Amino acid sequence: MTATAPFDVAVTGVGAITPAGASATESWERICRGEATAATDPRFAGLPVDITCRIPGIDPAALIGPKASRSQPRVSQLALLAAREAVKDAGLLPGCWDGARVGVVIGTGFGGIDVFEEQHSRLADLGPKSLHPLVIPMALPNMVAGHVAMDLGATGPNLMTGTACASGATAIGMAREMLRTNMCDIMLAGGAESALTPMILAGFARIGALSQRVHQPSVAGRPFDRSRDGFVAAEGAAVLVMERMEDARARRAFVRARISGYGSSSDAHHVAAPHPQGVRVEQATRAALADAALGTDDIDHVNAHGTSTVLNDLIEGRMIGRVFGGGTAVTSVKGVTGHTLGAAGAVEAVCSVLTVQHGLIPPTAGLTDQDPDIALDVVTGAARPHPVRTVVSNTSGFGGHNAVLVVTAA
Amino acid sequence: MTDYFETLCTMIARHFGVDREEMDVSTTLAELDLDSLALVELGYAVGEELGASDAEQAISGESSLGEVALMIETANGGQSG
Repeated sequence: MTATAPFDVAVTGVGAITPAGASATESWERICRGEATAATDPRFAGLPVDITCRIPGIDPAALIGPKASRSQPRVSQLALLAAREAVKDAGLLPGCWDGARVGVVIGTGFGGIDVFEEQHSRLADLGPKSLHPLVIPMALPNMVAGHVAMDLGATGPNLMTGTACASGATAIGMAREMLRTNMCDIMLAGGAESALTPMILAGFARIGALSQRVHQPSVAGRPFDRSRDGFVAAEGAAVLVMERMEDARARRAFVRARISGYGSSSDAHHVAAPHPQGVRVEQATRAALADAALGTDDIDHVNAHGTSTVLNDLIEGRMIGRVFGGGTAVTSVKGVTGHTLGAAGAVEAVCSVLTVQHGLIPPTAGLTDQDPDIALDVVTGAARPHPVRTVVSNTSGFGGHNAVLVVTAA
Repeated sequence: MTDYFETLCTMIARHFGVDREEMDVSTTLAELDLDSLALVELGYAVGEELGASDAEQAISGESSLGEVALMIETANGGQSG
């Protein structure tokens, strides 16, 4: 095997729309305050679990405008808002770039499944003529990446990544490879999810993944806590603008942080449960470190997948302890945001970028009684000011997908 | 017909981002740059929101806004003309 030189890409822009806020800054501030966003969702009254984390206070369709939003599912609208914010943050003007050199990779678990579910009911109740003529292009998961390209005139390579709850991190990792191989000069990469539907909520409840604490939504998600019992399903989107370091320097762009490593693996073990020893998520973590040419002692912080399910947190927590020792500061932002599924890896990449930029580690909301089997330095209560030069951000998804990013200081 | 015409114009403006000032009773859908898929969407919206369920088959790029408004009025039991 030939060793390759470490390859850093510059993160020159970030955008996010999450239950914690309508922009990356708003989201970051609430995540750092550790204020949970889970609440009772009246649309799901009567289902076994009726708590979710929803984006508050804005109407994405109205922000995008009727002409564009009429043929877009909500997941695309969220991706578009995050992408526009990221591009603006990077100081780029969509009309003024060579579109053929701008690529888009967006991960999503479910795409426009909300449209599909609603239209399926119409098909069953009212017949085929009642279907919306755009049901297929609205429901296809790849359309999220397609819509971002249409909105911003990004005519370079374009794809969606599907690795369930690792999709957003996979997208960023693959986008970095596309910069490495010179396929593009600018990559818009991230994840988006808006799959808060009766089918998805009931389905996740059926497999036992959701917290049952429906009467205490604000403390339902409690990553690494002894009494954790599942995640709270959420919606959101996050996008990074990524460029080769020399290109970012050449146009004097402000570099928030770098993506310096990516590793991925498959448990090849079970459809939903992680491998009991976490050997493959460890393999992906070590691959990401090797890619970044960093050792385990070089890592200042782990932004964990930390879903608040019994199995994930135990297996991931033990893996982190095994690889990095118990002294590395760990957090899971899902105590605030809930689990944004296919967007989670991108939301957490944005948090990792802002952590190295600002030297601040957000707390793990909901955690009050740490599981004694998870012997880690988990940040709780308040955000911890700490000079952080390197972050490992883990994600895993149903199907056994693991995707790990290494984020380093600019 | 005037009310249905105004409702139709409002709907087209909302769904397709067409400026209200571009729309007259004699304006055809093709003149508004509605492509074939947009025509199907419009037919669907007119059926769903304005009760003219036959419109999807009846309208074409050559249809004027006045003619579509008339279809809506007829479907809603109104008198033509």
